Amino acid sequence: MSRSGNAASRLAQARGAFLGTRSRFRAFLSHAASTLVSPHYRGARWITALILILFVTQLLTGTLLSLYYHPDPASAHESTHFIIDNVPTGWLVRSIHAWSADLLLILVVAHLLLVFLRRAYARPREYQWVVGVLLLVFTIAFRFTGRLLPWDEAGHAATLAGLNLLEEVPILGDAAAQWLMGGDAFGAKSLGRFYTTHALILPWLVVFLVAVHVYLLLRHGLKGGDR
Amino acid sequence: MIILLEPNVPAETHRKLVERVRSLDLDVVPLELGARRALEIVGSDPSRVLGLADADGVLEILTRRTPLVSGEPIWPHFTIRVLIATLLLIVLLALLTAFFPPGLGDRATATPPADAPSVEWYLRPLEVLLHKLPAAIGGWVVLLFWLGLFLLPFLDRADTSTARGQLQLLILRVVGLATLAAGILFALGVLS
Repeated sequence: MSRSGNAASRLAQARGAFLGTRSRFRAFLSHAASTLVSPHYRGARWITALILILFVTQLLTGTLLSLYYHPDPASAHESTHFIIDNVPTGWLVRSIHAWSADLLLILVVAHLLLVFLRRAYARPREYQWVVGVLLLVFTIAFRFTGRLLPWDEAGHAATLAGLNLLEEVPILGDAAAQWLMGGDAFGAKSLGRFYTTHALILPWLVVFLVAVHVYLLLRHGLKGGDR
Repeated sequence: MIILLEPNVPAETHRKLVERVRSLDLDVVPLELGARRALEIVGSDPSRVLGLADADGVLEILTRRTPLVSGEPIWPHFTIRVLIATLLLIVLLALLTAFFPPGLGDRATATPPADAPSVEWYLRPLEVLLHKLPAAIGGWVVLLFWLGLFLLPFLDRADTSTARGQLQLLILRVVGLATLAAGILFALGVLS
């Protein structure tokens, strides 16, 4: 009797713990939903939703492209040709990846502008703004590092011109350009560096920063106490 | 959010409602007040009212599985709107893809051809700043711009309750918008 009573008690405790976890999870979801889909600031909300959708699109299409792409100067151009001509819907995936990168950059700037005009960066959301500006920098870096990867003449020239500009920025510019080039000059190592930055380093950094950005949003809510 | 309760809500129902809204971890303040008085408290922002609940409304809230936003359930109201926005985005991407597919030029050589395009559109404002201003100044202007952008919340200390603070904020916004407008014109190549 006592043994079965203990078992029943343990079962009840386990069930309580499970339900408690689910309850907290539901509470979190409910809180997140009520913050993220606030009835205020509709424009900003839709821009934010589109940014997230485009970012996921970038991750998905980028992953698909990386299945066939070779980050090596000898075969990068041929592998891009192969994606366009031989991989089923490869041309479409590449095209969506390229266009959504441009749209993403435009929408991130638009989002930042709306936050600026509403002064939504003011206390207590200072660090949310700082993380947002970092995300803008990384979005630009995404776009810049991706342009070299097809290894065609236009991308090559645009990248060289961009690196020359970067080198002219004091303190950080030269170090950033050297890191991207993999040395003092643009060479065979550079494509590998660009690919690693574009496909490995930046995605993790951006996912982490988006998580911090959303966490801060949930913590402080939207400006105006409209939760 | 505020839940407004009609005065005739039974005590047991009221207790359950309070437990329920606390479990949802929402900023909900149940008010056992008449509707008119409660609306006076809410003031000019009726969107903060989650629901005007009588006894039947309370039961509905107690049994509801979907979170509410301004009295509207997430499903289907907001979900469908997000899906429509996604669909429009896909259509836009499909049109851009169909009419302006990104090309693939010849294989890159060690030295780019003379007629190769220069920097891409999003770097043109940077190019203009660096090349139109004297060499030593342009780079510092770019660096200070980004530093100012990062530190904006800590630099903007305007007190908008005073006329001086409002003027400061106005100037900041005008400068911000002018900078953006110039950046767009440079990016589009209208100015160079």
